[in-house]
Amino acid sequence: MKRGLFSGIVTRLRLLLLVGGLVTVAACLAGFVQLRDISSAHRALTQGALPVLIQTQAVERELSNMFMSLERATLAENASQLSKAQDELLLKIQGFRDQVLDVAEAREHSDLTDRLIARLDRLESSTEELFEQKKTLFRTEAQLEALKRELTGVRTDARKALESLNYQITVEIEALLSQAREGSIESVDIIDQLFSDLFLASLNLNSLSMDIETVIDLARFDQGNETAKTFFQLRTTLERKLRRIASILAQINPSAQRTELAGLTIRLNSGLLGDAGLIAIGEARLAHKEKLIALRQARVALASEISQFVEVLTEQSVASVAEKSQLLNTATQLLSLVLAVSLLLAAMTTLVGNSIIIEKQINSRMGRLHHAVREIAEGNLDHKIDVGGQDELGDLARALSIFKQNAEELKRSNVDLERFAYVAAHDLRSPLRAVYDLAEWTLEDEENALSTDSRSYLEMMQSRAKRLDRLLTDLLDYARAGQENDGLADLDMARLIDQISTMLNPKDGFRIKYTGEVGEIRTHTTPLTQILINLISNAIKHHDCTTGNITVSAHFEGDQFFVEVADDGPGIPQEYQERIYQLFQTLRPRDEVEGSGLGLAIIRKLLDRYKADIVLDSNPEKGRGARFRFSFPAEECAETSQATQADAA
Amino acid sequence: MQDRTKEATFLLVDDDLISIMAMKRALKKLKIVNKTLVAKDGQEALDILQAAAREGPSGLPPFIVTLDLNMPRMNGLEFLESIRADPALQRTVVFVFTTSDMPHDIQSAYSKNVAGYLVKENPSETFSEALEMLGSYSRIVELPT
Repeated sequence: MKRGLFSGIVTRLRLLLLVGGLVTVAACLAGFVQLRDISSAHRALTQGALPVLIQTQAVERELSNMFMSLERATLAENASQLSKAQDELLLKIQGFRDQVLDVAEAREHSDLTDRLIARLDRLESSTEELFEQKKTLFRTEAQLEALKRELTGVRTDARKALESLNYQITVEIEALLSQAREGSIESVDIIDQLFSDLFLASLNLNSLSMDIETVIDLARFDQGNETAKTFFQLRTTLERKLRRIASILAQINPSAQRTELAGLTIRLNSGLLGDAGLIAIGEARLAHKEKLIALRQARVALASEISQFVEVLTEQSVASVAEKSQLLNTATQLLSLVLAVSLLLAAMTTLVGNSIIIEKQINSRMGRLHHAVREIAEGNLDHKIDVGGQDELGDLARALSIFKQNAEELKRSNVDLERFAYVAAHDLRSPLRAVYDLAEWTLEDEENALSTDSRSYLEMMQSRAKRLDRLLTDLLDYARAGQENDGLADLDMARLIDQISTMLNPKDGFRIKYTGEVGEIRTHTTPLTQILINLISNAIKHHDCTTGNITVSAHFEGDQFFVEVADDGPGIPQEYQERIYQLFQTLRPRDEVEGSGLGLAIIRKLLDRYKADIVLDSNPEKGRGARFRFSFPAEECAETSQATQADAA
Repeated sequence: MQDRTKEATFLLVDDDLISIMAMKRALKKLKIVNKTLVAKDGQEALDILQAAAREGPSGLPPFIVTLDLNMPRMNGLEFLESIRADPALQRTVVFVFTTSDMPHDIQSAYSKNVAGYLVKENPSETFSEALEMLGSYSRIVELPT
């Protein structure tokens, strides 16, 4: 049979399973892809972004450390502090650079880190320069201190020289005064002259002393807030003062003190205004300081730039972490979505498959087919088989339809056959009776005119007509056997055998007796009576003696009712024991024993209807007699069986 | 009483001539001299009865009908239905006299109020016995007009 690709039930179920499996596989694949995405996002987060963030934070930390070191270096007050700070700073810078390089490694040398490294290099070089400047500054300050000490020495020496000069002048004035009082000096003019000279010298000395003090005070300038202009004014003032000191010295009388003072003045001049003088050094220090400030400013700019870079780096790292987290989130959400969709698809596949294939295409059709099979098996041939389709169930339904048609045809043909047999037998009997009657009337009316031969012919005609009539009667019985629905009724076995005996009215010498213990039973009386009549009449008819005994017995074996009819006739040869139940089969010619050959066939047909069986026990080679034993549906009537037992007792 | 009753008429309904002959012969043998009419089928019998009912001075005179079942035109059961449906004929005494012993036929006939159902079992003997019974019935029971 040709059939569509998906028409077989098994194929459809397999297809359903396949679809379910495919959905599952697709769901698993989608889930795996999502899981891989999640895994990679997680890896990117934990091995990429987060370490970078941590490193970046470390960079920040190192940066602040570095700045602190830098600050300490800047604030260093002497060379030893400075060298310590420098070592520390170099270490910190190296640490910071390492961190930045780590980050650069992790971030695969971004432009930002490269620029950061470049800035760091610049910072390092500028720091080195700063240290150089600072060292120079310290050296300059040391020179300045030395010069100041020198100045202090000069002042002390100058004071001493001036004091001694002053003392000489005072002594001279005293001497002059005493001379004047003693009158050794007569001329007032001379005294006056002397006095004024001395006084002038004293004044000059005072002025000189003040000038020197002033110069030294000026030289001990307050450090810190000088400018180039200050230095210029100072230089001018000092030059002027020194020139005045020189002119005053020139006015002083030459003496050892004057020579000393002159030498002091020269020392003062060179210490203050020389190439390595105080002013020059002060100016150099100023320059250094300015340079330092400039460097510091540059460094501050650089540091803020570095800070900005690090900030950007941090921001980027944080952003990267956020981005990776977002990716992870998205992948997780997608996985949830994929799982939900898969669940939905699986549920839909199951539902749709169940409702369409299993319920609609298999279960309900199978149920209908099952119902139809049962209905037809129970004999309800009018039941409609409403199952179609191009699959096994459809094939079964079609086969069932064919069986149903066959059964209907068989039933109809059986009905037709029985009807035919009945009508034929019935309609044949009327003319047969007419033939019989006509022969009878001829015999009656022409009693004396007929020859003996004619009379015997007419009698033979009548006898054959009778035989034909009996045959038709039996045929009618056979056609009708099992057709009528015979209700249940109570029946007494002994009485039944008595009635049959009376009805059959056998020749003298034949005895029919009932020996069974079963009394009243409830059964289908008409077929049972018919069966017993046929068996008993057969036993009489086929008996080869003029006398004979026919024994009927009945008993229950459990629920089953059994009847036996036994005779002491010639028995039935074993080779014929199957044939006797067939239609029109007789074992002896009709002229010897009248018989239609239907008696046992009717019995078999009746018993078939009740699914009962008949067994023959006869073996002429061993002994006479035949025993028919058959089962029949019957129930023992409880009260009467007790009554029978009571009677027997 | 003699005035008010009247001897019944036999109406033999059968399509078989020999059956009619057998019945007439049996009637003769039994010395039954009642008037005897013959109809070949149900329709003819119905016509006879209706005519008698019309012409009779006081409706239908008493009739004893022997009825075969299997006949052309109108069969026995149809005939029974017709007379039971006709108020003028419904009191007619009918004996079914047939070869059919089918339980269905017997039941149908009795459900239409037949006086008896006789199966022509042994052609002439049963017939004679039955007719003897019929004859005495007709003699003893004077049917009311």
